[in-house]
Amino acid sequence: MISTVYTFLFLYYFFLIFSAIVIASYIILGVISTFETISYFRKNSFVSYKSILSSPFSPSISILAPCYNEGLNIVENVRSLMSLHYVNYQVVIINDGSKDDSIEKLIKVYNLETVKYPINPRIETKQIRGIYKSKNPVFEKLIVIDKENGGKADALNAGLNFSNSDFVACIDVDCMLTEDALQKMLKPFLERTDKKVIATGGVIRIANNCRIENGKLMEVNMPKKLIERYQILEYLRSFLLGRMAWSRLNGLLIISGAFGMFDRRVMIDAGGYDTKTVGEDMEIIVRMRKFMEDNKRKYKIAYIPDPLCWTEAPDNFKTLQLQRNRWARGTIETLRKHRKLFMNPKYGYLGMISYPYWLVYERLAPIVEVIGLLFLGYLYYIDAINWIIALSFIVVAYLFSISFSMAAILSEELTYRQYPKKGDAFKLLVVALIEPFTFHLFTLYAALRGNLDYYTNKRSKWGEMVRKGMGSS
Amino acid sequence: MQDFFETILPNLFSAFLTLPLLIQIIWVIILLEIIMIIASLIYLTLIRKRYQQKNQEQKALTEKYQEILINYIYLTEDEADEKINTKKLLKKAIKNNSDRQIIKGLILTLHNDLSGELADFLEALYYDLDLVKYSLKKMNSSVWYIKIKGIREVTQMKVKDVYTETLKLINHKNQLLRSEAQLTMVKLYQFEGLKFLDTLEFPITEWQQIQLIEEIQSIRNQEVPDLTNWLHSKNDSVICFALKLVRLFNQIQLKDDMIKLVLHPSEKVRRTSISVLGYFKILEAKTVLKQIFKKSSPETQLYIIQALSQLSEKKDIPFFEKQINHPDFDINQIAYNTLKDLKPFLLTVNLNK
Amino acid sequence: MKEKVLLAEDDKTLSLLLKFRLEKEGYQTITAADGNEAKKLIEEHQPDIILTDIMMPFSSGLEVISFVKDTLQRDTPIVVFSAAGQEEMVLKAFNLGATDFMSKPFSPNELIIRIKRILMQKK
Repeated sequence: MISTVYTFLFLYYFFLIFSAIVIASYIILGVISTFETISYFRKNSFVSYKSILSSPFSPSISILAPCYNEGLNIVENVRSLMSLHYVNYQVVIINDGSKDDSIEKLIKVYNLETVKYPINPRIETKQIRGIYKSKNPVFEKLIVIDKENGGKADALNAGLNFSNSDFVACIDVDCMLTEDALQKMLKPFLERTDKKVIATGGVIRIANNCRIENGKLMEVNMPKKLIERYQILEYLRSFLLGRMAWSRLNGLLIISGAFGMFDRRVMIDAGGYDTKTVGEDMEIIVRMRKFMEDNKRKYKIAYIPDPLCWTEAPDNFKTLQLQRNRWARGTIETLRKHRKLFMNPKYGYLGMISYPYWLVYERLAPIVEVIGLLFLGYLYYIDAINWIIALSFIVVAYLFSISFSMAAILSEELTYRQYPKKGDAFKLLVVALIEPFTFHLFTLYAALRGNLDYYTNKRSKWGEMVRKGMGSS
Repeated sequence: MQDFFETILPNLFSAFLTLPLLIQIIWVIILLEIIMIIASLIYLTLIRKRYQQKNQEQKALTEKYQEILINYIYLTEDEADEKINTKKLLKKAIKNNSDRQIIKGLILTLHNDLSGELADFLEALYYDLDLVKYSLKKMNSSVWYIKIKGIREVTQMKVKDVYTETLKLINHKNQLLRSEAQLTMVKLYQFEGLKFLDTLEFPITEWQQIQLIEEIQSIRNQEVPDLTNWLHSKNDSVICFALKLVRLFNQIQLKDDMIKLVLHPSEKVRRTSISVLGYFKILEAKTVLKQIFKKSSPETQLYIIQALSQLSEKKDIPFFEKQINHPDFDINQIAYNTLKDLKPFLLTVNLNK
Repeated sequence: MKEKVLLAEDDKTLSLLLKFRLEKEGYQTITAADGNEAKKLIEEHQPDIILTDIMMPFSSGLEVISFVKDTLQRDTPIVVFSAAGQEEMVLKAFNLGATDFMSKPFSPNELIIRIKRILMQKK
């Protein structure tokens, strides 16, 4: 009897403290993010990117874009990638054994012919079937590597093996990059003399319902479905109020796989992408950080808050579930693989702050939340619920969720204002109001399934999103 | 309504007091949150409205002043009266903050794209309208990003007599102010302006070096200064920068200094000088390069062999033959390709892959 | 007969200024703010000479040149503006069929002189 009371008390205080720390950390990260974004704004309001475009000393960049069954849009996507304003770069499309007509389309439209090119085999990849370049000098920036299917990480490794550039930009081929994306992502690498910048990450913006013509973003619109709007809200919170702070604290553990730029040398020395995980974007960052720490080199990972990359978000629950499921498994796999970092003073901030935070508040949080809800349900069942107390907690949590979303919307309003049309902010607010009872519970469910799938060793692939087609609106 | 204040509210309040302290705190937080949310909502609507208004205003003003300005530029001598009137109008408008920003912006953007007569004309106009006054004020601000804006404007409009002010900022601890001051020195004083390299205590970032070089490339009719001193600077980034200038201006006569730099303690300096030596095909460098090859890090070895490849002659064949079996793929590839060029009939070398 | 000039330049102020100057010189000037608009107007108005900036939003100047030379197969002379130092782009422009180029910043007077010269050579 006493032990049950103590268990209750323990659980009660545990959830209380857990939630209090979550809220406190969100607030702290939010505040730091805001300062960092304002600081970035100030520093970059008068930057001229003219010189970097035309200098003979501009570093070389390879865009690495793995492609699998993207036949519907591949031609447009490639064209868009080739029209960026940076000069010293090449576009490397890695066809990861597509079963459709991707490669045929590319060969036809871009006048490709096979070329002989010795590829450095330093990172093991699935076999390369051929390398193509265009006969037409207008497309001389384009290289296509055709290889056997091996997954995104494997394809990126093939690109890494091939490239000779100073930097590589790893992207999803269906991501639309703005014309100045490359030079903006490049700048942090060239600006520090005290630390080596090993990677920069960009903010991912949602392109659903936006008007895109000829591979260029013409008009930004608020998407029609609530599920799409929810993701915008989520991304705003996560990027503007979260990742900017982590960037400032140099504690970033992930750069979105949709668009990231890396120092090629460091990436290779750290071993390239891990093909055995579904969260290769997070895993490579953790490994690159560990590599720099092991070698006692000062480093930094930067984040650019400018909207540079636009991508299509899942517009239905099934695809969203697959995506979040994969994210959950990716997080678990990465944290598990690098568990040596946990509370390890040898790894400084990485081991003592970033890793534990990610472990508790990203990986374990969904589980804690579910246990909390179950606990609540149990209390209700045995009629031990004090309604005033329960209500208070529910209300404060709900209001906090709304406040945080409001802060994100305000941040966006004061900085990039990508949604200036009348009623746009209101639409996001509506989502913020209903989120805690709807989408949040859904993502919780997806994360749990991710955990379940991980522990039952279910080997699922990336999940093919049915392409709506980026050229249509 | 009275009921609410007389019975319900006091009842609620006494009920509130019976709650445990923790819950009381939570409800206070809830109240605060509600107030905050409502306040943010109001704030949000206000700023959105204000922004839309401001946007429209700016558009209208820009169009208005675009026309006035361009008309003014192309007024002939016969239209002297109109000239004077327009000038008066503009001078008056400058006193208003938002009008001033627009007019200034227009003059600066045009000036950026135009050269010759028109550029001079715009500079004179900038003075006549007293816009210089405002730019100088910005330059004297204590807030760094305002200072930089001021410096930019003053530099673009070629305002003289800012030498001392700018010189003070060369070794400022704020990196951006330093960089801006350095660029200004070059923009206004060309090669003379590079003197700051003699006494620079801070490193120059790659980004800044690229910006400086862009400016330097547009210098016309001036003799390239003697770069020797900078090649021996205590500041490593100054050496790297000087090497870029050596490359840019084909200062091959400095080859002995460059060869010495191959043994410099800083790895970056070594790599940069190795690249430049290869680029200029300075054969005298070969002995040193071959000497340091073994002890260098793999990445530096790559630089060395690239340079050696550019300098290769038949007598270097033994060196490259040794490197065919180098563990690093890129290095043995270069060795292989160089041998192919030197010995078109590659029969005696065994390719071990 | 007044000769027709098509000017493709995304900076509105510069565009307005050049238009003013060109019209003062007696040329009928049509302006486009981006590559797509330029292509449309070129097809519609068939200008005698085209002036285009290389870096424009949505459709680069290079595409405009290619459009005129390859798609429309006209021999209209094309002058490109480029921000200083974009040599690679300028080379590409010439390979595609551009007639002349002026790097920014440039003098409008000089531009007029070149236009006159090119149009005279055409005759």
